[in-house]
Amino acid sequence: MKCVLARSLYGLCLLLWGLIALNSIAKTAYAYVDPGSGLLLIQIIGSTFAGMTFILRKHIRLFFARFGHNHGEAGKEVGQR
Amino acid sequence: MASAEVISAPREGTFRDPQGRLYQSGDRMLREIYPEHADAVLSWIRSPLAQRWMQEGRMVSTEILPGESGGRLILAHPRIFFPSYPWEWTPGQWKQAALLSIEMCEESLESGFILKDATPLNVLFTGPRAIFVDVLSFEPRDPQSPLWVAYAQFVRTFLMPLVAHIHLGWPLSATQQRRDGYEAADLAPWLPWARRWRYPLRPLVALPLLLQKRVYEKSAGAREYRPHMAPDAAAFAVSRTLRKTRRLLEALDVPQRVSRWSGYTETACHYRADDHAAKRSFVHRCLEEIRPLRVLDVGANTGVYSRIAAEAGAEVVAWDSDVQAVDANWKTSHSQSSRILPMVADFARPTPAVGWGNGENASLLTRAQGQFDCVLMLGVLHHLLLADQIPLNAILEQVARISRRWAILEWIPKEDSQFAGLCRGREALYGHLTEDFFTEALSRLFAVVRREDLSNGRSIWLVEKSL
Repeated sequence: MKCVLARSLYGLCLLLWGLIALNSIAKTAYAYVDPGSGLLLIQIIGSTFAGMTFILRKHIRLFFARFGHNHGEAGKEVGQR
Repeated sequence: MASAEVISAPREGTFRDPQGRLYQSGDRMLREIYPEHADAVLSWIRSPLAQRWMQEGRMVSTEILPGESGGRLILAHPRIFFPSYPWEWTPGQWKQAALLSIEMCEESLESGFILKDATPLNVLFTGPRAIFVDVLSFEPRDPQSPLWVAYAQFVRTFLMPLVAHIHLGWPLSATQQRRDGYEAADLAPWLPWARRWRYPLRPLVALPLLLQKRVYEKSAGAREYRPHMAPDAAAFAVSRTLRKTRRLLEALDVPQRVSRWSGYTETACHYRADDHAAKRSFVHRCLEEIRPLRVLDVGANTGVYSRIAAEAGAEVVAWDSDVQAVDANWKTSHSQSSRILPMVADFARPTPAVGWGNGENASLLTRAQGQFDCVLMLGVLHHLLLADQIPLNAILEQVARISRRWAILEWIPKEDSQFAGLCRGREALYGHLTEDFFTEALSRLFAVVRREDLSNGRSIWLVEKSL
């Protein structure tokens, strides 16, 4: 249940991120559509979001590593990644 | 020696790859790398990862031939005995080839490389095992890019034909006409709206179509935008894309269907157990005696006789037009690691040559001509004669062109229930198909070495090509 909720939340965030990102770069142009263009957009949205999530998680871990109880181990883990 | 071969090599060969071209030279495939790409290709071929894959037999082995003036690099690969094209594969083979491509791409990330060209045409089969043959398909990865450049190509050429096969019943053989696979827009009109929005079709059909229509066609920025990020974040994003793509492939599960021929061996009521045993024993004895290195089993069904030939030491290619039967043969051969290459191929309607100038992918018969020491045609002749209406002389001539020496044939008399069933009231037309007619036609091209009569009236013949 927890997993389903987390996934739904993740999906919603992904969709929102996609809409915001695409809206910010949109300029009207009508042209030939390359093969796989929809798939490329999906990958761009998903990868950008995944990359941002990774960076955010890294910073959160670093923050807790600095101020948390398990300073040494968490710091090592972040460093390894 | 290598230089002489190269100099005398024809200008033909593959032409699509901007890095080089591939052509056949005797028993080897030579790959010429253009000077501007030579260094990059050399560093890839010499990398520990590429070397390991070659040792494991997952990538075709590659020898770097002595250099020449002008910076041209020549690589030599052993020739895969019988090339099979994706449109001749079963769903199981298709998924195996896709899985190999994904796995190799995942592994290459750790060494700083990535798969840039993900199409089934880069994979061949040696026996039941997939092998990656296009050694130029890997390149150094841009550490700041979170994208897998070949993702869309992988989806179009590997996943979408599976979607079309599973959800629409389109045969994988139809990809012969679709070198670049299917777009979401090609399949969407035939898929119910609700199914398009369910996993796994949502990320393959519904969302790409929506984004393409709503954003891509209207936005020049979207077409040009390529994200860049910190190397560790980019590596994480690419790994995630590959993980999700693998999950999509696993979710495209091809249901097992029963076809007209998939249970033939177990349900053939015109054979008694002792007839089966006598037939198997005769074929086994013949193969043990003639010891062919390469055998073609025409109408192989689930591969009972292919396995007998493989056990006798032969490398076997097994043709059948029934996809379910061939898939069952491939699964058994794969699990037993038998030297059998099952293919969806019809002797009466062989795969034609396709591609530019009909020269990119050779026809089935061109590939087969003179390649086999023995051809097995068991329980097939009457189908070719009656259902496909091919004259007996033409069939035997074809066998003689494919076989270098031997053939094992099964003759079915007019009184056989299967013969009568295929005749469908046309007995008068086929009244001439007697055993005398068969032996006379046979004698023009082959000499009879031995025959075995079964109690159900059928007979098995070992014949040798006449000089």
